[in-house]
Amino acid sequence: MSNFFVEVDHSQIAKHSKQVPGDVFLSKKLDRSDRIVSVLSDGLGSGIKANVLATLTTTISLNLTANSVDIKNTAETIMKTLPECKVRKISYSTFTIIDIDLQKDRVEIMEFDNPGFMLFRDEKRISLDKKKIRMDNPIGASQTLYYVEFNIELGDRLVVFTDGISQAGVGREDFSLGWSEEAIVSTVGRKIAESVNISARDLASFLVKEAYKIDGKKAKDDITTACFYFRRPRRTLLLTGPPVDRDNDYKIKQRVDRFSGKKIICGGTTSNIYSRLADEDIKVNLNSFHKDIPPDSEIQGIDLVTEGILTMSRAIEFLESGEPAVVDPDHPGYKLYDYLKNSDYIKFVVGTKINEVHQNPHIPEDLGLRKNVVKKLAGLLQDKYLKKVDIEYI
Amino acid sequence: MKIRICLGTCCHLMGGSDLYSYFEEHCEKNGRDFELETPSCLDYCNRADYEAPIVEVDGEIYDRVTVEKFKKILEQG
Ligand code: FES
Repeated sequence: MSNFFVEVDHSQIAKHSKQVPGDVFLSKKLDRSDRIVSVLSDGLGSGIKANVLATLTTTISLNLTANSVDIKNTAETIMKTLPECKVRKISYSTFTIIDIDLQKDRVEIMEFDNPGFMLFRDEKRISLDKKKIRMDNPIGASQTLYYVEFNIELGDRLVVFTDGISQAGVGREDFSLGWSEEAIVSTVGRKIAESVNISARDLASFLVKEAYKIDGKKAKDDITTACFYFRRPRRTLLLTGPPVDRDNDYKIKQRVDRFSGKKIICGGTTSNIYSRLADEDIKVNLNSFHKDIPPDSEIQGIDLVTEGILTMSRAIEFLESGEPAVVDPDHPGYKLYDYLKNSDYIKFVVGTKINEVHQNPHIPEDLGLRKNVVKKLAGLLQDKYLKKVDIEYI
Repeated sequence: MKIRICLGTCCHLMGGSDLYSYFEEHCEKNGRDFELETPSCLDYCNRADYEAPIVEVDGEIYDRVTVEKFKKILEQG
């Protein structure tokens, strides 16, 4: 597993009086691999027409990059196919393609006509040597693209934006040339210094809001920023179910002891085993009592202790629905959902002793085996929430 | 009086949560000296001779406890 987790998010405000922005950002994690491809494009003009152009550019670039090994080939194909304005001889949309390979901890970027991306290491901007590449567009006009590749370091942040940021304030006396590169660098740098753990989403929305303010809260163009934050993955261990063989009970405590990150136990018997082995008391948290599922408990050294199958099933429902309808922070299913949603890597340790609940003729069949509930939960986290997931059966 | 209402998966599903709600509403505030615990499994749910929900009162185990039955147990105790 890579040492990095990359948080990708973007923020956007459409040009004043336009319903639809003409800037489009798309990002895709390639099927269970460690590659993330993202594209930011600004369509010529604004509104729906610009949006269609930018959507075309991002979608095609994303798919081409995902399927090819070479970002330069992708750029070439796009340059050949992008429609261009006959009068101004310029292409109808810009693009920045970011190809992140977490197996090699490497990033490749190809830029065409967007403001240059910025790389921040802590609050300092790092300058990189970009390679100039010339390509012709279909009507033979030569265009300049910039290519760069570099290795990621822990804590790096990439900031990519459209000219809605760099041109913010144009027309104002004090911003006649827009928001200068140095000023943007120092604004972003200051923000990172202020809040060292700022998320990709918050940094992107901060920059967009600053530009919007400079524009006098009437955006003169679509304002879009995408941020990439390379950080240590947030790790969570979820233990559920007693081992088939009692002699393996020790594994429950051992897995907890060896893990660095958040620790969750889902299951009464499992928590009893842990409590006995670790010689720590279980304190039931009756404030969390809800009619639909048993309350959670506290055990020293464990971040969350809940009942097993019912609570995991509720977390599944919450994850399936996206945003839970009733957000009660004391609900154990919600707590579990929240922990899982905020993790990047989840390791499940599943005891496969046959569940008595399952054998009880009064209990609905569909609660099924613990294994199936875990599989469903893990699949959802992996496929819908793009988490990294491991399952170990004990 | 020491009461343990099991709130493990099995007991909760089979009505343990109703027993707890009943206890919370009727017993906690009536002045009698109750000591309540809500363990997450009393280890009876997997035994053929017992059926959930399980309640333990002063060391004695009761199974298939309904709210009615629970009331009676508390009154007798
Ligand atoms: S769940 Fe109540 S005895 Fe096991």
